[in-house]
Order: sequence, then C-alpha cells, then structure tokens
Amino acid sequence: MNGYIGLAAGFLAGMCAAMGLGGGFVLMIYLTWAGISAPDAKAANLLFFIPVALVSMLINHKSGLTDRHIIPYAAAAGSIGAVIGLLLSDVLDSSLLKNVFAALLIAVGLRELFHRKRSAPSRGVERFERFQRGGSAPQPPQAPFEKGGLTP
Amino acid sequence: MKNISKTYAAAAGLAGGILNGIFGAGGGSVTVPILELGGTDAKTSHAVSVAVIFFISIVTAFGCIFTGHAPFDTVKQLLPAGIAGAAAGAFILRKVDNDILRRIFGALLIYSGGRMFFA
Repeated sequence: MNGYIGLAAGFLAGMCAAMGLGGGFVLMIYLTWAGISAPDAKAANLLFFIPVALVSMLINHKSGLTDRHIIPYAAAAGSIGAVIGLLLSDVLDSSLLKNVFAALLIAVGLRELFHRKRSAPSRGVERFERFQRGGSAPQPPQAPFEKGGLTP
Repeated sequence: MKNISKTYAAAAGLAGGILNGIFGAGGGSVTVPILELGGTDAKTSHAVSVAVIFFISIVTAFGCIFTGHAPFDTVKQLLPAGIAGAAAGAFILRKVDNDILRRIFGALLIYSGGRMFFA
C-alpha cells in the first residue's frame, strides 16, 4: 500500500516538477505524510529534483522552450541566492518567514489565476494593424486641450 | 528588451535561490512570475525555471548533505516513478496552452500558500 502511494507521489511530483509547477509541494506532502523530518524532507526534495530536472530539461530543450540567452544569468544569480538562503535558514525565525512567503504565494497565485488573456492583441497593436491594412490612420487618444498647457 | 529580460532573469534566479536555500522548495513559485514580468511567455518561463532551479538545487543539495541530511534511500525509492513523471510532464508542457498553464499554476500557488499558512 505504502509502495503504491510512493510510486504515485513520485510520478506526480516528477510531472509537476518537469512542468515547472513546483514538484516540491507534492513531494513535501508525501514525505511529511510518510513521517520524514523537515530537514530530511528538504534534502530529499532537492536530491529528487536534480535527475528529474535533467530529464525534463532535455525534453524541454527539444521542444524549443529553453531560452539560452537568459538561463546563465538566472543560474549564476540563483547559485548566489541559494548560498544566501542556506545561511539565512540558520539565522532567521522560520515561522514569520513562512507566513510572509505564504501571503506572497497567495497574492501571486490570484494574479496568475485571474490574469487577462494575453493572446488578444492590445488595443495599440490592433489600431496599428488596422492602419497597416489601409484603414484610417491611428488617432492618438484625444487629450483635453488646455491653453498654454503641454500635451503629454 | 533583451537586456531587460536578462535583468529579470537574474532577479528571478536570486529570489528563487534564496527561497530554495531557506525552504528547500518553492523556488519556482517566484522565478516563473518574475520571468513573466520580464516579458517571457508562460511556457518558456516554466522551462527556464526548471533549468534554473536545477542549478540552484545542486548548490542547496550540497549544503544539505554537508549538514548531515542525506536521505538517499528515500530518494532512490521515489526516483524511477519521478523520472517517468518528468518525461510525461515535459511532453504535457510542450502541448499545453499558455493561458491554461498560468491558471493551473495560479491555483497551485494559492493552494500551497494556504497550506503553508495553516501548517
């Protein structure tokens, strides 16, 4: 029974991790449920992620989704951040930190969940495209004219 | 534009690294939104996030092993299923729509935020 749940948790965690959806949280739930202490769960999560990320990186690269221009910058800054984080984790009071981070997660989550569709072109683009097709020239928004005032 | 997204990438990496170092998880929850702010689309942000957290995790994992937390047995049990899941997830990421990906991600963030509050 335990073995099957482990298999399912591993699969689900790997799947979420490969999609960048945070496989960590799936694995953390399972590891806590399995009675593993928090520092060990943290370490297990990290060790688990390394080969899983390697596999998904290879496939993502083949899908043409990895942006090689920005990864080195993010990875370099990230490695520095990781060292800072490791040092901080010994010093900081983690309960306050957890609550702050939780609030941040919920705020970002709400923003992502209810975001407006990007696929629709913005109004400016729409107007410009109409202009290109030979329609009416793009009109700047009518600013109220003030005597002696500067137009924005 | 390119320079701006590089700045955002560095900020994303730094923030993700700090969180990863503290909690051992949750780096992606900040890297993805910051990359998106920098103008990267959702799917690429997620793929880049995986790559970045990969490098960060190596650093943090070394830190954990150094402090005596090395649960190799637990990881060994989970890894075969995890690799299969990784392949499945990567193929889903190739197919999925940007909008749907963002909404799923948002829902998961709210869930893990709520869980953190009450844990």
